[in-house]
Amino acid sequence: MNARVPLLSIDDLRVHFPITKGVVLRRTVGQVQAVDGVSLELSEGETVGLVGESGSGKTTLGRAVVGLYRPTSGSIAFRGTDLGTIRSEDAKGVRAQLQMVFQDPFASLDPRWPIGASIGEPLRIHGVGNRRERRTRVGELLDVVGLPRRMAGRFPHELSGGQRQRVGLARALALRPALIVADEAVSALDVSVQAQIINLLQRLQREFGLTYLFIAHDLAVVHHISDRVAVMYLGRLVELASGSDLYGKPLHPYTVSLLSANPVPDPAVEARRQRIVLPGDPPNPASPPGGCRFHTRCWLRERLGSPERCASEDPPLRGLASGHTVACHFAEEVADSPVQRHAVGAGD
Amino acid sequence: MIAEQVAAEPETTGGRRALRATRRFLGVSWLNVLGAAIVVLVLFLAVLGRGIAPHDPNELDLAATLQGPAAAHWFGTDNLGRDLFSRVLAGARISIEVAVIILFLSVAFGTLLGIVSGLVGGLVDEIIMRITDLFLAFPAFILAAAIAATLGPSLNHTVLALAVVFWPWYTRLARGQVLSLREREFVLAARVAGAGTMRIATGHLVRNVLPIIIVQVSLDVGYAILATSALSFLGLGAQPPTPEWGAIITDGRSYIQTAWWFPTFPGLALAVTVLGFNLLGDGLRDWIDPRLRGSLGGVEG
Repeated sequence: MNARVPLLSIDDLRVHFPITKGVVLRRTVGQVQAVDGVSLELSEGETVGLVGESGSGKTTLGRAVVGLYRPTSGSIAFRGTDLGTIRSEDAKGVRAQLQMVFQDPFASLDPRWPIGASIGEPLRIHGVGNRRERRTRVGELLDVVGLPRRMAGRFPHELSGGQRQRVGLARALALRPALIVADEAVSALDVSVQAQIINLLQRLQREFGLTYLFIAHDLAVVHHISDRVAVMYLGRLVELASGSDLYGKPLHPYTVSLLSANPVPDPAVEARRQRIVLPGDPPNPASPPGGCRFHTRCWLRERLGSPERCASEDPPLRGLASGHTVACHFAEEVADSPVQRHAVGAGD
Repeated sequence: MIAEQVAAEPETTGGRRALRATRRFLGVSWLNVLGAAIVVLVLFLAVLGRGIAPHDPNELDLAATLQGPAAAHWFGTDNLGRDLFSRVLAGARISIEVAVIILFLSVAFGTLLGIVSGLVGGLVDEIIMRITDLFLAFPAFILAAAIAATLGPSLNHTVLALAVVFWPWYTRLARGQVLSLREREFVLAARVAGAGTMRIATGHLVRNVLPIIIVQVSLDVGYAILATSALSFLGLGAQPPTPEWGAIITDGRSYIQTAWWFPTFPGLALAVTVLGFNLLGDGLRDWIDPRLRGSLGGVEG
């Protein structure tokens, strides 16, 4: 296999959910375009952060990657193998390489199963080893995530949130995956526990050469862990860049407003920052606005005198600087502008 | 040694846990203690009643008809000289047996259908739900009476009729649970790990639906006993000489002015038994509802 084939490549992925009406004569009255034309590549061993507000489609994208949702169109390829067209007998093995850690450590473990059983579940499903070998493996997995082995017999309600998230991680690691989709994996935890889990994630990445698709709405957490960051808005990827580029020189007006809402630790910097408050709510994903999806709330468009192009022409993702792509007709207006500097808290 | 124990397979929660939970449940309210005590007593009498009973429940003694309560006959005798205490004891066994069969049939059928309905969804769900609507639209007791009357008076037909009336409730209950469980993250996690529908249904869904079903069963036992007796009272259920409580009450009805003990004792037995199961069921429901989380499992808050 070619060494330059990315670990995961998502190509023009669309995941639409039909809105149906009627009981016997069920008819589709609309489509929620949760993910609408996203392309993204992940290389082996890197962490890509995926940010966006609620309803932007980031969770749907993550779930499509692990096979919980079937793509409406487009493809997801793992090491060059299209997961959509793979023969079903091979699919199970390939799918095992793509695992997920869930957001809610309270809901992601079966309350009636001892945690050892939850961690061992993927092993039983894939018929790995015999009972004794599985027991041993569960013990090893507990070691790996830093939980004492005797916890295997405990039930989820006896554990703290952070411990449960470690259990969720152990379960995701059971099948020795190459890629883990972490869907808001630390969002439900206290800040101190978040830090522990993030450190654990980074240690596991070094140890097992894992690749992460790290979905979160907390920009600071994403910044800390990610090599590259992708920003989603209303089912689309609007900006993709390395962490330092994205946080230092955001080029999409939506990213700029996101960053402006994110507090900066330095009070002097914080004081001179200007927040950009977006008007209104995100549009209905069942009927997204034409042209650029962000044009209805875009501060830049307003500032430029509402050019017609934004409402009529869908901006493609284009490379501006090296490794920095953005989907905005007027991204050049953002680059090195005072607004950009104010948003990220850089000096004038 | 203990530190090395690693459970890799699901296992039952163990006796100690159950004992702790029982103690906590009884500690909530004295009504729970009363309900549990009555239920345990009735179950005890139902199982061992034959050994305790001083007489054969169907043994006639025409020399001693309609005797009042006395040392020889604690609850007195009926119009054919049968010992009412022995008959009431035998009735406990019948009532419990009947309730168990009714609930086993309706829970097994209803819950299975509910899980299928919730899991498969779509048209299958739609059809199953409309069928349950059909059954639920009738007043339950009237429907049971109509079915029992159509099939012909007998205890077996009464059991069948009541099972037919009861199952849709369990279908609804199980379906609702499955619908909420289906999208829960631990079910999604099982799917990501490659689990099929069957594995998810048997491994995760049944286990999580069961506690709610058990509470409903404990509430319904009393109702099943009462309904069986009511149908027997109307002459649709147990036929003479079966010592079913409702049937004994029917026999004793006409003697209420001359031999008050005849309908009174089976009536009391029925009332106390139903009360016991209802108290237990109510207690269980209240206990499980607010903290579905915690000791009985569920999601921890």
